[in-house]
Amino acid sequence: MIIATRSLILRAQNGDVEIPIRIHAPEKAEVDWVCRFEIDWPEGQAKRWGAGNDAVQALLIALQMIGAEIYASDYHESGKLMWLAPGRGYGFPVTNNIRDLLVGDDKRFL
Amino acid sequence: MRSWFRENADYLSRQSKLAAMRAELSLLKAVLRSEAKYSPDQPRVPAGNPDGGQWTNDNDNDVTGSTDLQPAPYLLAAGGKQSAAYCWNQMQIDMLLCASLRPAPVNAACRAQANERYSACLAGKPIPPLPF
Repeated sequence: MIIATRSLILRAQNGDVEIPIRIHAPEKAEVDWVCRFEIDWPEGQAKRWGAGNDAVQALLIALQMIGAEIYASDYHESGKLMWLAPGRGYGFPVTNNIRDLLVGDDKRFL
Repeated sequence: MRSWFRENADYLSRQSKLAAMRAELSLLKAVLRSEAKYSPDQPRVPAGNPDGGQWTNDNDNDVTGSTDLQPAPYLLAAGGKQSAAYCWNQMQIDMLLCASLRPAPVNAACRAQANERYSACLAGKPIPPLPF
């Protein structure tokens, strides 16, 4: 079950390209909890999952994984990727060790 | 004897699952190593040589022989960003290891550290160890 979505925008030469992100409800797995998510990059869909000791950790790890995928992407590096406005960040948390990559409001508030 | 098995069924079941996870972990590590090592541009020993066609490298004098035993992420991180597929493989291996850990605080800390490793891998930063 999808519990949250967000769409990023890639400013491409031929016009804007939507990059949808879908986050599923954390599910109890055999050992721990997993939280699945998908990012529909222009070159293909990335299907991943975060796992945690409980549902909250699985969800947090999934959100941080999304943040890492976005900030480490060539699209972010190109400066053509945005959420609500260019250069303001994407509103996903990241792990401490890549906080230096954050921009805009992400840098201030996350 | 039968009653011993019955009384320890939970324990035996957990041990069995753990053994299966360890086997899967070893397999994934092997796959990861082979993916990291494969390069179509890597030179081969020329034909006519007894080892003709085998992969070789430019540093045949490397006698340490320990490359395969080093944590590959440290070596690879020095070369910059890894592919998303590589980092995702690493993350899945880390998660398998974390899933086998108890008590819960250790399991949770392992997950958090695995996620830092994933972020570092994607961002091309040095990948911290997973000391669990």
